[in-house]
Amino acid sequence: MLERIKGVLAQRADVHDWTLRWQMKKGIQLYLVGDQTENLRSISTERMVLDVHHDHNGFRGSSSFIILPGELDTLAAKLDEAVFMASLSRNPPYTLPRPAACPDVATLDESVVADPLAAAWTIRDSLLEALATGPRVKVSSIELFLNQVDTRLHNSQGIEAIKSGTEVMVDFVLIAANGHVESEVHLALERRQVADLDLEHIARRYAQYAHDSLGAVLPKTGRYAVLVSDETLENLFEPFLFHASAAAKYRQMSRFALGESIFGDRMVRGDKLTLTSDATIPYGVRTRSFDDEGVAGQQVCLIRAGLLERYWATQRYADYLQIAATGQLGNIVVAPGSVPFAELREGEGTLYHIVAFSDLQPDPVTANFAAEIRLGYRIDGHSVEAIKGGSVSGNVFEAFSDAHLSSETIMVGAYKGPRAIRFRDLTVAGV
Amino acid sequence: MHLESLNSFLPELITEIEQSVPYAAALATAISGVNIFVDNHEQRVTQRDPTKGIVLTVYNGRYFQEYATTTLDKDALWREARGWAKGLTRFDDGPPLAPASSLNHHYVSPIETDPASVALSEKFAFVVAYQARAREVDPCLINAQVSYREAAEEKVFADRTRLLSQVLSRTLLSTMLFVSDGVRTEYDWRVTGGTVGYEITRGQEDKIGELKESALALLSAERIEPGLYEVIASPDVAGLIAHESFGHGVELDMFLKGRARAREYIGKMVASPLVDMFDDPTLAGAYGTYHFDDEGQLASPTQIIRAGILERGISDLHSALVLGVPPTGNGRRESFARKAYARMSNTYFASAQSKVEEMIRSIDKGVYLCRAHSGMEDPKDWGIQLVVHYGREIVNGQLTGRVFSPIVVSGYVPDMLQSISAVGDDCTLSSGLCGKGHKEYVPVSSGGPHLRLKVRLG
Repeated sequence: MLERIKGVLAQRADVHDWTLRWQMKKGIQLYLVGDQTENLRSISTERMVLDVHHDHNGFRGSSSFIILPGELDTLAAKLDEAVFMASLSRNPPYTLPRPAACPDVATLDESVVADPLAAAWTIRDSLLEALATGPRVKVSSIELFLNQVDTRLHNSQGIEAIKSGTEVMVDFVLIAANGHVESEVHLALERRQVADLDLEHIARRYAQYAHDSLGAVLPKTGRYAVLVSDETLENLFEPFLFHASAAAKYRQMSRFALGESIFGDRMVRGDKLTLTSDATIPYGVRTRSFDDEGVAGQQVCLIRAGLLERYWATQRYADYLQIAATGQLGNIVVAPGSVPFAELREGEGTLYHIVAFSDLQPDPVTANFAAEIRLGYRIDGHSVEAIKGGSVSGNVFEAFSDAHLSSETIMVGAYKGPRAIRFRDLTVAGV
Repeated sequence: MHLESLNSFLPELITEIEQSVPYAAALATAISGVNIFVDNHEQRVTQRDPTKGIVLTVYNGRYFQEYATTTLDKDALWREARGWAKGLTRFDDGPPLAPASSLNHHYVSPIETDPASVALSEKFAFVVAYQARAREVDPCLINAQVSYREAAEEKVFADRTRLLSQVLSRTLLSTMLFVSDGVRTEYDWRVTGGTVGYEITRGQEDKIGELKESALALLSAERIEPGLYEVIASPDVAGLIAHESFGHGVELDMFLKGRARAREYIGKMVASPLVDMFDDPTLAGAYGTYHFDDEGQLASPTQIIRAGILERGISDLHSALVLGVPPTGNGRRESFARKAYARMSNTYFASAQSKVEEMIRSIDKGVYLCRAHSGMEDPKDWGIQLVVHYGREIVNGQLTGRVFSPIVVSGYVPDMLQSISAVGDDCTLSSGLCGKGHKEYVPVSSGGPHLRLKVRLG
């Protein structure tokens, strides 16, 4: 199919560049209510995505379409339509990536490839086993997704590349009870390989959270030091990633400038942020030998000690800014700080340690954030009290200008970095 | 390939699979369309990422099993289905699943102007002209992004008693204005959507001035002092309250998983007597509208709250089966490749008598919550998180011009709904996507009238 499409493309004078991505996804989805199966699903999807670029009057227009199996006879008509769509838009010209050496990266879990259903049952058993030995909780639901994704990418500049990867997603809800009072915790984990799930520790930690949540009270209103840890951290970096992107710079929406402090004129105290996009970490969720355009996976430092070192850029925006393409974002790697986690939880005054937000999504443009607390702890000297409800709010750039990062690191989803970050002064709303 | 070609053999395929299990069904979906995006720096005209595939569902007497594939060719699909069905096992220890009453029907949404009848170049020209108008409104404006999206959604459902098909047109027009004073960058947006046609583009230019004013006002927005406030919720924010409180809170699969406190409150007072709340997938033109759900159940309105009393929830087939209640027609999938869950459609508070101006005048010191940003449900603990993009200060019944942004609204759901002390005589629905937790996105709308209530802001 791929060669047939390339043959047709070679005959089209109105298609000036193209990228062809074939993707096959096979997988298993297992849903349990308690420990009983609710649904067992098998998935098999195949599709070909074709990006078409058409040059006209000094501009370049682009369009994309998808061909599913059995639709090859519609190719000519779809190409006509795509070229027409591309001819409407008038964008400055840009190039496609050329062939380059792609890193050999670890993205495949052989146990998932061999038998995804067996791997799913193993995960279920491990999870239930881990929960049986920790604080007593009821399993509300478990959802397991295990996929193998194979991709082939060809483009008009000569790239011909192949990659395979596995995806493992675990979603569970636990309920703790104390008489008639019940409380739940929810966690969604994404990994490349089953071995990285670390279910034994994580399940027990979340079982403990469910118990702690039972007696949790509202936090007190005021400005306090706030420690954010573990699974809550990944989204915090969105504003840095937005403003460090060539696309935002091109649109004149980035507040960052090369070589300058990402905090502007603000005095920086505590640990200075060093942030890298790394598409080569073994078994990282965003690890890949090449991205959707064919740009080789790379490790690129974006922010070093609080200064913008470079923008991450897909080929198009790299051309627009006349910089080298880094490809799509890789895993986010943040350099650890120097203070151990235990010490970050200490210190004078009240500290709120948040381990779960309802939904922490900082605004990428303004960097403002405001999120309800699902579970945290109010630490006052030796006194520790569980809290939930109320909210923490602030601005990511302001918060990171006075923050300490833990020396211990974790890998959660596409984030690898400090296990915890202590912000000196954020707004807590409660009673 | 149009899905109607499947009608000829899907019933036969179902019959064959049902030889080894008590129940089988098939849902084929095809979604296609066009996305047009224009901002100050870029133009894009692309096909919407098309979805086309089929999911075969069986109930094996104990649980559901499904096979999802992009193979729609008759012979190949038949081969794959037979291969999959060989591995099915029959049980008899689960509740019996009886198919719905017989029906063979094709549904089409009424729309004024079929987007397919409008030339692509005309649509593109509209977006370019509209964006050009938007980008000129103020020197502080650094970018204006306009996005037009149309999707033609075709579905075919077959089981032993039903052969249903529907065609829906969903269109969406969104505008985002980014402004900067050189130090600070802010933005505001407006989204209009529905199961409507190209007519959605009419009259939109009149709204640009209002959007510009609100975006500019955000340049001087302050953080709000945390505390309890009397507020007026706009229909947009009221809709988010409805959605996150007793929308997600009454999805019956959550009852089944022991995750919804609402299960213990059916027939009990959970809100002010002024409150009536509905989920209605039959609402003409709303963004979450459909004729039948992804499990072949016909869409029907559900009154969730009547005069403050929680009446009933919304169900998918599995939760209805296990809980022994009639399905409400709310089993929805993100795509054929994902499982169906109990999901909302168009969720809203019913309007009442109060005039918005009077409601604002009745507040001594409070906030008019204007633009809903995002929310998260917590049906177990009845917590709620709403992020409101901005609110306007009210003092002595007047808007002072002071703006707060962003604002997080949190609290205990019954406290929040029982504090509702006035319900407006207006009603507007907002269009968007709803996730279950952080995934499984489906098109929905939510809204209602203006509400006066008391909430914790931070």
